[in-house]
Amino acid sequence: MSINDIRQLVWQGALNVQITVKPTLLAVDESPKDCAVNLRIPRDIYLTCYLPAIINRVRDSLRVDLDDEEQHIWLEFENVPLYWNYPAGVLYDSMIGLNPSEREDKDAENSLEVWRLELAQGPKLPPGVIPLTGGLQQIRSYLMHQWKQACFILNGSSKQVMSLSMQESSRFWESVVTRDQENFIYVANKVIPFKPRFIPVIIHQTLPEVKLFQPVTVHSKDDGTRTKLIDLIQAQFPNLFQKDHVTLSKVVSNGIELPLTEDLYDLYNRLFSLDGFLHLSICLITDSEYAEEASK
Amino acid sequence: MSRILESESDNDESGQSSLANSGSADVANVGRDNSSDANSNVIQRRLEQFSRRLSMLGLMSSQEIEEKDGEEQPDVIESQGLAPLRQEVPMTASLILNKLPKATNEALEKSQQASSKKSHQDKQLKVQIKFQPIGSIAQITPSVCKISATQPFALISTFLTRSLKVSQVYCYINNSFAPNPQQIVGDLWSQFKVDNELIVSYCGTVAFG
Repeated sequence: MSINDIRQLVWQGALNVQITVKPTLLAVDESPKDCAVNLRIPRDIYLTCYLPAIINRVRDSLRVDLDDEEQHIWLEFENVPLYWNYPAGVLYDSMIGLNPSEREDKDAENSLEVWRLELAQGPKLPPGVIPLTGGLQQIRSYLMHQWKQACFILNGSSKQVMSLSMQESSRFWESVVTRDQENFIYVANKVIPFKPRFIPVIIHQTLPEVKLFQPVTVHSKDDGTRTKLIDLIQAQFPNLFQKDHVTLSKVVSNGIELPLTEDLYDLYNRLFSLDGFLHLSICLITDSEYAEEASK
Repeated sequence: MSRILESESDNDESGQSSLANSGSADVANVGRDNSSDANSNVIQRRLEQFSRRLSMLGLMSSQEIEEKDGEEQPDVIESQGLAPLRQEVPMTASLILNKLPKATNEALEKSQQASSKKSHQDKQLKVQIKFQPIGSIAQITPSVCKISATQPFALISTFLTRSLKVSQVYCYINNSFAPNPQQIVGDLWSQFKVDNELIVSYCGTVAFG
């Protein structure tokens, strides 16, 4: 499969999401199920891009005013507030601790995997959630700054992003919103070099506690060989990924398990997210899968 | 932290974004200062809004500025009694913990021991920040400060607004990008330091959009 084929699959990756409203926000005669919003959204986009549409769909069923400037709105999964500033697919993989092989076991012809979220509102945002006060324009600004940061890591400066024309910047943002992969890749290719200085990586660990790591990740090691995924992951989690041992964890990106021996920059080029970073989620394998692996 | 992101909200007011206008007017309008009168109520309101947002991050009461040589000038930006930002584990994911093999539990225990040791060391570890003003905004004195490597970048923004007594300040690393306010300062320092200093430029208006 060519790099373009894989990029296309990544770009087309989608999630079925059902958003209900916190019961405390609903009008007396409304039930959460009656005003559920069902969406199929791309994995590689910010959930908040859909917030205006969700709000419009549920507005009439609420006892509260969602336009109240003194109130904030956010999304939760099992009462855990979601950070809107990571791609939806990354949040899904890390928040449910996705194990791709278990998902395959559950897949059936007439089943549909749905991620159930709740819309919440309150006078204070949960700790860590970035206030969203500027709508899509704020999301666009955040995205461009993330790309500048990724560009700095890759090239040693943000010049490639900062020198984009106004037209190219707009084209880039519109490509994200309108899901136009051709324009997205056109601009991304201007930023991503053939040989980078470092690789922009964010590692999401969910268990035993939620943690984020943004390690300095070299393209080539001191001996001149290129960094593999296993090099990065063993350095970061030496106890979970031990050499010559049955693996205790997997690395997941865009909903798929990654081969640990893959070249890291090749993985980056195929799986980078809309913000220019390669997001990796750590998935712990269960005892049954471990026993299966150990018996091989 | 919000000011980094509010910058585009301000831009948007100038009508530069057709997407924002056509897309999410509901959210885009929240928190905007629509008043054209430059009166003190507006400033007061903005200060209150800003202060409220900072408190949402749990950073408000955490900052302590050490004095140097008896002068009331910042040198070390510290956080007392503040736990790092921590997101809870959703129930579905936490159930996996009950199904782990013994080897994983042992590995996690080892990792946690190592991590708590490292986190203790990291708390002690302070990284150097060099502040550079852009435009007419005042210069921080001294321009070099230290901050615990485990703090989020939002604390630096809070420190600047308090020290400069301004409602908003826009921060950039290496005159290039505004980092994610949740990002740990130690990670930023490791990746973008110049001569062992993380260069944070700051401005009263948007400098690098």
